[in-house]
Amino acid sequence: VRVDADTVRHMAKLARLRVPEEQVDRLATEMSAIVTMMAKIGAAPVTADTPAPVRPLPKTRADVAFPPSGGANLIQQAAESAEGCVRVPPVIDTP
Amino acid sequence: MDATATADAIRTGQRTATDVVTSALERAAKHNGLGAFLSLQAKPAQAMAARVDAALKNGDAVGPLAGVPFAVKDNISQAAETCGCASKLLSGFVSPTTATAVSRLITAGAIPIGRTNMDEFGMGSSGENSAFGPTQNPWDKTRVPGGSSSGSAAAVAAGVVPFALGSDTGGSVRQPASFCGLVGLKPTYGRISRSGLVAFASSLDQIGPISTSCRDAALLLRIMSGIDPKDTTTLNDAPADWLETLPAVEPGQRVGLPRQCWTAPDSPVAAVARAALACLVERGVQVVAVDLPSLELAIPAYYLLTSAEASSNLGRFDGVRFGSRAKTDTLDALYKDTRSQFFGPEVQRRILLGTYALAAGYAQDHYDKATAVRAKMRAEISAVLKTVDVLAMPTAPTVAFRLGEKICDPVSMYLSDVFTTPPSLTGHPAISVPAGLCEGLPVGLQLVGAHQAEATLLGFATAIEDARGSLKG
Repeated sequence: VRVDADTVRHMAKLARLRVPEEQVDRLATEMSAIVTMMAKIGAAPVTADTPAPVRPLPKTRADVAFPPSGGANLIQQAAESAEGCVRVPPVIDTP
Repeated sequence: MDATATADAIRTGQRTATDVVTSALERAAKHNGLGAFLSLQAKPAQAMAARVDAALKNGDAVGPLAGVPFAVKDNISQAAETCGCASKLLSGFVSPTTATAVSRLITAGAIPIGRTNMDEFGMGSSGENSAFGPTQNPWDKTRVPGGSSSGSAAAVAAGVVPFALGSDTGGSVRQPASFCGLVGLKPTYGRISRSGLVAFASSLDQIGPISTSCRDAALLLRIMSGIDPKDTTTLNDAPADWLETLPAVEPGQRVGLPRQCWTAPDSPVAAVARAALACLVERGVQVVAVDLPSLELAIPAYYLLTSAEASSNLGRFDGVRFGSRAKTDTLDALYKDTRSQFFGPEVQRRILLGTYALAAGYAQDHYDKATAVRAKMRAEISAVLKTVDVLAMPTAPTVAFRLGEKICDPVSMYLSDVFTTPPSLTGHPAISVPAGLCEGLPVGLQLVGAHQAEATLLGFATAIEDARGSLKG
């Protein structure tokens, strides 16, 4: 299985990662080796009688809403905040 | 001295908690070169120790771990302490909450003294993927301690603390325990709350103890386990006192050796692991070969599923709400530059792999098949565990490898998890117990039990421990 440079660039775009151009070929080589290993799953003898994934049923919680806790703490963890809000660069360009 | 003996010594007045904690902090400083700790909590730890000593002096009731110091992996939260997952992306992040597992240990009297190094976000098998440098193996400082709970294992192996918390997604408690001559327990999925554990692959992640004895593993499991409203996947059964109810190994019980895990029976590691089973045979236990064909696909299934989950879980680290932030002018650049500048190479590689695994055209062929293989593996292991009491195999195919030996070869690194990933995928409990030495380095034997059958697992592990004794470096 070969992961080419364009695929690496596309995956990086989807994953919101900026891969420097000089690292693309190395990553493509590494990913090809790993994806080749992963592709062995394609040979799995999975048939109609393969058991469905079992998910143990957890004890359900009471249907009660709790007030959010630690709001102030969470704001404090943001890299930038102002007036009780997380501060980010402009989302919409202003004229 | 293990945690149980340390607690006894404090409770009976042979030592004070202050002395025990101060000694642990001194040992941590002495072994600083190992790179086991990212930070120490000297003042709060000493204050907690003073409170334990005062309580004992007043004749007040104390918990079963009163005054016992322990270390916490850097992806398990403690309120008012940094919780950085050994990543530059979370450098300086201070947790507003305490993980349920840590909280229960503190309620039992245990005293956290520091945060331990790890592979960034739990992604690695050697401890070399930390943004703050690798951890050395106390048995041989040119070798890795295993990963991803590298610092936790090294701290216990160096005698700094009697136990430490790790997290195990594909072997991250058991493999470092094996490489460092310790006991590492991954309980049944859901046994210990994941609340406060930074998610890597949520359907596999489990917190587990790394200790010097099986009795400590049993005690710690009892203290940390139990339903938690903050984690809806926790098991709905009351914590058992595994220490009190450990079943003795009886003649006629059976240990299954999966053929797929013993393909190199002449390897030195396999020979040491196999020899450790002799004590069970002497007690009348039958050792039989069993067949688990789906284990052949454990590594591809594991890396497909965990990369996919990781790429989703790590989407939250975008520089907006917490952690580091790159300086940029636009929101899109903020996301990209923050993630690219502050995630390390292995984390970025796994995110790319997970994105690929979930991409249209690939997911249907491979991701869906990996989930089916996982279900098949779970059914196979559960069926075989109705015919044998436990499964046994080496914890890892090799002893601790040299620092740098596999860092440039990700596939080779991933294959070091070949024996530990199956129980992670299937949720079965598993333990690594010291089996012996190979060329002067520890070898671990992994035992896998039926779901929620930790008592059986710990009974067999204790029998091996009693026969082999603890390993000496």
